[in-house]
Amino acid sequence: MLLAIVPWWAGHGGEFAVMYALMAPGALAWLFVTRQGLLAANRPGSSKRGNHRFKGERQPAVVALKIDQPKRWGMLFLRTLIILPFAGVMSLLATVALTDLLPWLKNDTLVLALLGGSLVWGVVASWLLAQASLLRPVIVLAAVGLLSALYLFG
Amino acid sequence: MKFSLSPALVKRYLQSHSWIGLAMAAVLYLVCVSGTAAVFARYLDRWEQPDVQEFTRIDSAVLDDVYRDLVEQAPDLTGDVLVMLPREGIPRASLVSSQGAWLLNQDGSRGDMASSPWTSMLVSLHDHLHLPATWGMILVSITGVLMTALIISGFLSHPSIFKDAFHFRRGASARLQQTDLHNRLSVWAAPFHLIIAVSGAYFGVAVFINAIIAGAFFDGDDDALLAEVFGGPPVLEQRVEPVNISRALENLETIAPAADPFYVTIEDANSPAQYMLIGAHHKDRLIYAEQYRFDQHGEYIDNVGYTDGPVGRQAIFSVFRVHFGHFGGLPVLFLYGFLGIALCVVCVSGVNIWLNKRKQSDFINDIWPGFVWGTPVAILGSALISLLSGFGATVGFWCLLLLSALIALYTKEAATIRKWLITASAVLALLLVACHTLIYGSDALRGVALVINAVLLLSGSVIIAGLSVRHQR
Repeated sequence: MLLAIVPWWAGHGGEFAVMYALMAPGALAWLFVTRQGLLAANRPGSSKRGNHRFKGERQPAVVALKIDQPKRWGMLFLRTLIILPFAGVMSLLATVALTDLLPWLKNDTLVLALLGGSLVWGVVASWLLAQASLLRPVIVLAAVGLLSALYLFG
Repeated sequence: MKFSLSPALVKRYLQSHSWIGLAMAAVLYLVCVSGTAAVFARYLDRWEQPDVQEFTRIDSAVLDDVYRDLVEQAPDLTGDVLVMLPREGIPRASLVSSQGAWLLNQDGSRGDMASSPWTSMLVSLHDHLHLPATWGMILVSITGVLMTALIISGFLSHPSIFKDAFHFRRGASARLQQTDLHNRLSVWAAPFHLIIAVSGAYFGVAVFINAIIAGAFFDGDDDALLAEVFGGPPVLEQRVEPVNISRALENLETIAPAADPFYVTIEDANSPAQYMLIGAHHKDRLIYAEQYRFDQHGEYIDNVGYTDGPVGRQAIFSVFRVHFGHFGGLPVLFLYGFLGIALCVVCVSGVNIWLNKRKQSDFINDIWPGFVWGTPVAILGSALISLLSGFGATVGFWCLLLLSALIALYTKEAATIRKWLITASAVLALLLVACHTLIYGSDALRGVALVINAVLLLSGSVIIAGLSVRHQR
């Protein structure tokens, strides 16, 4: 797949080649799913397997979360509603401050901040939401945000 | 390939992944379904209004008359005037101003008002979920941020993710099938999904980040920030005359022979500061357009720099085409369609995994299939309502979606409701073709309208045939 970038680059230029390379695995996934689906459908007795476990079957990646009681959802929503904007403000401040340190044209650093900000926000949000105890991560993040704000507005 | 993360951390990321997914599943699903449809918006537009003159080029002299007529009819015209030229995928011309939006005939005369309420409904569902525009766009963009978080936490919560990406246990239990489908499509399509998430989030997150940047570097002046990023407008002061579009287009051929113009905007029309901005495609570039600027007489001023300016400026003007797949022609468009469907499947299978794993069953088990399978019913049903009445697409969409969910809640039979709603979608697709053909006659049976009607007819027929065969078995 990586080698395919070469003819794509030659035929359509670098920008298109990179986009094609990023899309290709997703397209192959559909081919793979369809093929496996057809093979499994033709396998004798496939429909009778029901809930029996296969030999050597691995545990599914996603196991049930202990959030199956909707009563707990209110608290989880509240936690998310607090964490998400906090993560957003801190990560956007940090992104703008960090990109400004790059020795690039102003336009380039601003655009990197504009496009990269949401990526950083997403990473920070997933990190914060995965913490058992929020105290230390929140303090660290608040410090990063404060330093960034001081750099930008101080 | 194994990540060396502690089991406790993996478990926490898994919990974070599941919670984010569940909390935003419905919104994410609507954004993904409408986004997949919006990729084809330019063709849906043409299907919705098939009785319009189509042509691949328009005489530039005609455009001068178009603008002159507009100014004569509305001497107090203000704001920007947009003339869209025939282009790839849209062989139509249109005129958009504060006075209204019309499709143009090849001789420059005005045709029907541009009207595609159903396509607009789909696009606005994707852009801002039919909420007030700014808040809706921010909400959709936060969905993009959370999608990024889901991708990151999905990888970190799954230590053997690349190994499992090759597993698909069809014929196993429903939960395992859903898990495999979820893992397969999400892992393999992750690079694409990450691009869609980040580029989608940009549109609304920019509101916040612009505020920070403007405050930090431009004394709170948003216009100065926009000028730095996108290029500032030229400063002109002239005696107002009708703009000479044909002269500008002629000059463009000399200045940039490789440019393929597809729109002309008269900025600050009818004012001393007015100027023309010609947007042009450049082969093998992802930028939406390079913008060439001309004064009212059609004399070249400069280009904004999306082809040859700072890398950042080129990158930011590529976001639109990257997000909507408007490059590389029909193959890329269809690929975006398939990858968009993959994203919908990932979203639905993620919730299904959780539902299948739960020990108890409650209203969520009942309502979820109604919502998922009710969405195509609502989309097709709103198209039918819009086709027959000319309005009501948005109300029709939400009423049908609500109705589907309520029926699912009432029947409490996921398999039955799924079958009903799939059948309803197929029947609606067939009805849509029948009504479209009855209303538009031969116009419904040529060009893009024919292709879309054929796809609807085929899909509806195959689904009904498939369901009937299964029923007989």
